[in-house]
Amino acid sequence: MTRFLVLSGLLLAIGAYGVMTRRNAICTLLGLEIMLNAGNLNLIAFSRVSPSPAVGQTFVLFSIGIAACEAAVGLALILAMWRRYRTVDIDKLVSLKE
Amino acid sequence: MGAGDILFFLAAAVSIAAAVVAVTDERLLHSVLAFGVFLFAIACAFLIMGAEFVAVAQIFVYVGGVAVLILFGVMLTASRGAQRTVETEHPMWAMVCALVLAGTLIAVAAAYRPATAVQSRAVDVSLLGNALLGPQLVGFELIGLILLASVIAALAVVRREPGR
Amino acid sequence: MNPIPIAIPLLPLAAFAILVVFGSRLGRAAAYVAIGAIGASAALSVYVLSWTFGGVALDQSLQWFEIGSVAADFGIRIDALSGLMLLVVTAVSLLVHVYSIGYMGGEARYSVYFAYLSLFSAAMLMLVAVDNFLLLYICWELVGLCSFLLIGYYVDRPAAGDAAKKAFITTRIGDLGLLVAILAIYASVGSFRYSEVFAAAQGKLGAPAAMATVVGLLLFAGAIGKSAQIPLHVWLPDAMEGPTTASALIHAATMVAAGVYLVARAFPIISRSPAALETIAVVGLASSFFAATVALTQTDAKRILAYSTISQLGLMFVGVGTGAWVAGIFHLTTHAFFKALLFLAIGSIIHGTGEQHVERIRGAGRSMRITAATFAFGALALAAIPPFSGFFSKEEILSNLYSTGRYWMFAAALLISFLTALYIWRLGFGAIFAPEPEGDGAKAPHESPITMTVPLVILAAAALGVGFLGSPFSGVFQKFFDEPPPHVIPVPLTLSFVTAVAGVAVAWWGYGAGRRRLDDVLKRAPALYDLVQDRYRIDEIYVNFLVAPLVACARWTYERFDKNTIDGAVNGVGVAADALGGVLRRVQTGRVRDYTAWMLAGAVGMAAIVAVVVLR
Repeated sequence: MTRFLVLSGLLLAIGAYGVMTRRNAICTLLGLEIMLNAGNLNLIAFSRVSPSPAVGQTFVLFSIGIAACEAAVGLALILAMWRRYRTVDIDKLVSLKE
Repeated sequence: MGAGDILFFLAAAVSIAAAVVAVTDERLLHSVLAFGVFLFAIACAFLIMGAEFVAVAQIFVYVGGVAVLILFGVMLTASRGAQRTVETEHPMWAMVCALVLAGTLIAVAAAYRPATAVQSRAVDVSLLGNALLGPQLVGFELIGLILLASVIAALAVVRREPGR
Repeated sequence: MNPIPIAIPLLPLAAFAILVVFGSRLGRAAAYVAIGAIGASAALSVYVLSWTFGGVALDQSLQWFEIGSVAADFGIRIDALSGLMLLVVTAVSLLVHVYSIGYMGGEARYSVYFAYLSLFSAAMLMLVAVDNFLLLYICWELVGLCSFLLIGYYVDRPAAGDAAKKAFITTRIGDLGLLVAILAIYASVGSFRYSEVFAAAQGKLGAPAAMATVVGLLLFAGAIGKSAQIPLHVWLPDAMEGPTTASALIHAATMVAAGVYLVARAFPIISRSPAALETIAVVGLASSFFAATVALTQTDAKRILAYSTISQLGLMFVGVGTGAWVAGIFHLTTHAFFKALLFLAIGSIIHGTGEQHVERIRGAGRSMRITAATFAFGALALAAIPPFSGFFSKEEILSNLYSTGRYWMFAAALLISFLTALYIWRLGFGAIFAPEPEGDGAKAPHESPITMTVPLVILAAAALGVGFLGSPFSGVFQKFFDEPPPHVIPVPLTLSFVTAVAGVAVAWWGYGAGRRRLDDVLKRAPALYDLVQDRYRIDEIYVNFLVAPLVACARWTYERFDKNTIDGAVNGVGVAADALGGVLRRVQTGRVRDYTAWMLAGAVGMAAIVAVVVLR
């Protein structure tokens, strides 16, 4: 049990590092997906010790579904950004700068 | 060390390695492909944990859907040489944050003692089916709605203004 | 509580409220609202006065509020004094209201003027009707406020605003004395009500005569301010910046009379202190003389009347100070009518000619017959020529001086009488009844409209007739106050008659038929003449020795303290906030990664803290 939790923790950290670090918007999305998967892993691990394991797994199914939605919308946004700015470098998005 | 443990460590190692490559490789395509490998490894982990249905769903949706989608995105936003440089500034701060995060989670994980015993048996799919159409029905329906909404949203975002 | 006496001040108050809210929409009708209210009050006053004839008083009170152990009541006291004052105030106010239709007809802020008049009437009526000192003080201040508003009515004239401020500040100084007096009364007696205070005057208040003296002098201080006696008289001549009708009502007939009313009302207290009485008489006499001399040299018709008012008020105070307070009130009554008449007559001339300088209104009387005739009535009353009212009232005061053995004061009063007749007929013969200046073919002024002439005629009748009520022939006036009718004392009677006639005669010699003889005579001593014409330079003294240092102090405080310290602190806060903002602004880089980093760092930090807490 512990090993799964450790694994998911590590993966979460790696994903976080990726989100914070990458300049390409698509790579940021990748880091985000890694974090989501780490979360799913965690849920499955806990569902094994829960009185109703099905609940945990259905939750994960929902999570996967939502992640797919989110990836779709995210890519749509990236496409829109590409059309507007001709780049996917998120450092170029500075119009909110004070 | 049983076969299960070996399999687990294998899957864990692959997933960690793939994740690290995904977040650090400078070349975009390598990143995305490493991500795909990562997803497979996670599916394996699910299998090991006894969530068979979820593992398969993971492969269908994530690998078959999300990864492909991201590849499409890469292709559509291709521009010469621009993806080459994806280096970062201040990796140190991010590293510190990540380490702190990892440390916290691992510490908590280490201190965790489950209240009930671990079930080692795989979960029967019928249990899952009953849950989805029973107590979790609302969530199930809502997922459908969310999928619809996100499709519409994505379309709306990428729609070109008429007349351009 | 009987509603009728309360209604008398409340009707004009209601008119004020209506005019404030709806005035701009009413336009010309605003006057009728005010007139309706004051007219009704006047009718009620007549009725109320009849109650007091047999000496019946009304003394009712409701509890109003209580702070700690101090209770303030709202009460009405109707006796001969207040009943009479109610009638005088409402009558003069009503006539002024009607006259103002014509006089203020062209004004843009027509309804505002009537609103102020209504408020003043309400406040003045309350002042004379209440039964305790606390309410008196409130109404006192309110009346002062109305004076301020009316003097400063012509908002586009800075001189008017200055005069209003001067009036308010000067009377405020006197009001301080009044306030201290009231507090002293309360401290000594434990109540504000007249009935209780005057009862105590026999005992606690009167026993150490020092207390009565102090209270009496402080009360008189308030009266000095309000009634423009020396040394607080300086505001009244400047108050002529306001509309003439306001001057007629406030600065001739009613508000300035409030001081006399106060000392008359508080007579039970003041009479316990001979020192206070003597002071009142002396100050009154000095003011009277001083003002009469200045009036002789002035060239602005309204200023002449202003100084005349100071002078006549002084005589009233002489009456009170020598014990004949009923005589003082009688003179107050007659003066209210004939002084208002004189002001309104001058107002009519100003309305007709557009001028008020004595040189420039010469001959106005030839074309404005009614005005001139009514002016003559008023002038004769002021000069105390029998059978006009002023003669009888002034005579009582003078006779009292003589019969109580104050011969020096009597002689001074005779001199003042002479000067009074002289200065008013200087205005009369020298300007109004003078032959018209030849040549320039300027248009002759036309007579005023009927809304102005009718009040003039009514007041003229009063100036002639009211005197008989207090004369030895009838004594009706005195009966109200439970006093015997006045005696006829031959010596002062003949002396005052002679001096009055002499004054008119000298005026005729000096100014009649276009002559300027007296001016030439007076100007033979140019230094003295200038001094007098400059009102003895008292204004200058005040400005140099009182006002200028205070202004310098204020300026220093402003420059050093306010600007540097306080403004510095306040501005400093602003600058600091700005600087802080400038620093914090750096956070807004606009870069997504930075924001992500901050968010994650925050979440991680929280998670770590929770973990640490949980794992303990």
